[in-house]
Amino acid sequence: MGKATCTGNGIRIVETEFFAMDGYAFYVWGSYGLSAVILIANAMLPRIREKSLLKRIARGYSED
Amino acid sequence: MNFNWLHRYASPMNFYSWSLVATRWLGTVSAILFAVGLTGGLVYAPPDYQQGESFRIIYVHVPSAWMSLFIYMVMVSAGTLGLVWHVKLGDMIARASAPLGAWFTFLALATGSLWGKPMWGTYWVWDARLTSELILLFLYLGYIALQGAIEDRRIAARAGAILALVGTVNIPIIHYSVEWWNTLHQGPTITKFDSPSIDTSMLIPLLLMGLAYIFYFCTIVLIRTRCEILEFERNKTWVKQRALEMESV
Repeated sequence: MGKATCTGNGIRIVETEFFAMDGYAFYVWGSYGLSAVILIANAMLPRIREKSLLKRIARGYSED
Repeated sequence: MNFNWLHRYASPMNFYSWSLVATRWLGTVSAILFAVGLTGGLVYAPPDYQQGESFRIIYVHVPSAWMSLFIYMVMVSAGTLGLVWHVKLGDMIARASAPLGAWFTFLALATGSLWGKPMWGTYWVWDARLTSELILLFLYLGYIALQGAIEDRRIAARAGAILALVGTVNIPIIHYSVEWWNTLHQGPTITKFDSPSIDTSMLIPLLLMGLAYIFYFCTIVLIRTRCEILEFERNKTWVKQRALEMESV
């Protein structure tokens, strides 16, 4: 992943390079971040909706 | 043909029970595939010889694009089951799929845009692949708007199924756009099975991510379908009983 240029803590260099993505950090992490946010939100919201629906039905929402 | 068996397995009550077990397993498999696929794509796959590190966007872009087409076909198939054979669950699955399809289409466009900027020098270009994918997004949004606009659920489902069926014409256009027209978008790299133009170390994480997305979709669409059932069958005795059982747990 890129070239190691400086000396010192080897792990730190690898980490920094990993996040730098060779200058494409904004585009790479931007697309991963956006995907993560949308996928996680789409996974959480229906679960919350199902729970609240069950609650409301148990409390007589079905009588509407 | 006799479709009694289908009606039995696809009865909302039976579906509700087996889908509770199914979502747990599908969700777990999806999480594992995501973990392995992401590690492979971000850590083990080497940088591309032309695009460098930026090519790693492929692991979120291509699966999203696959899903945008796959979910559309699920929506059309489920909608047709409802339209032609009056399988109520079909209508519900179609309704539950549409927002997910729209989100994946949006993701395919957005991540593609973030990939296009460093590689092509622009976030957007009106070429055949990008434009036909944008039309797909509008088809999903149109379907969702239609569902919201028509009060009667049966009519909404029928209208939605017909709209989705007509929109199917766009699916092969998206797929073949890179071959039919001169596009800025690159041609297929995976579907050329005779000589895939991608290295195995890059291909395997991509296939794993594709599987992760499919399992993710199956998990979420089942949960969303359960919500549809709860909303529209809320006056049924079994729904009330189930809700009271859940409440007491």
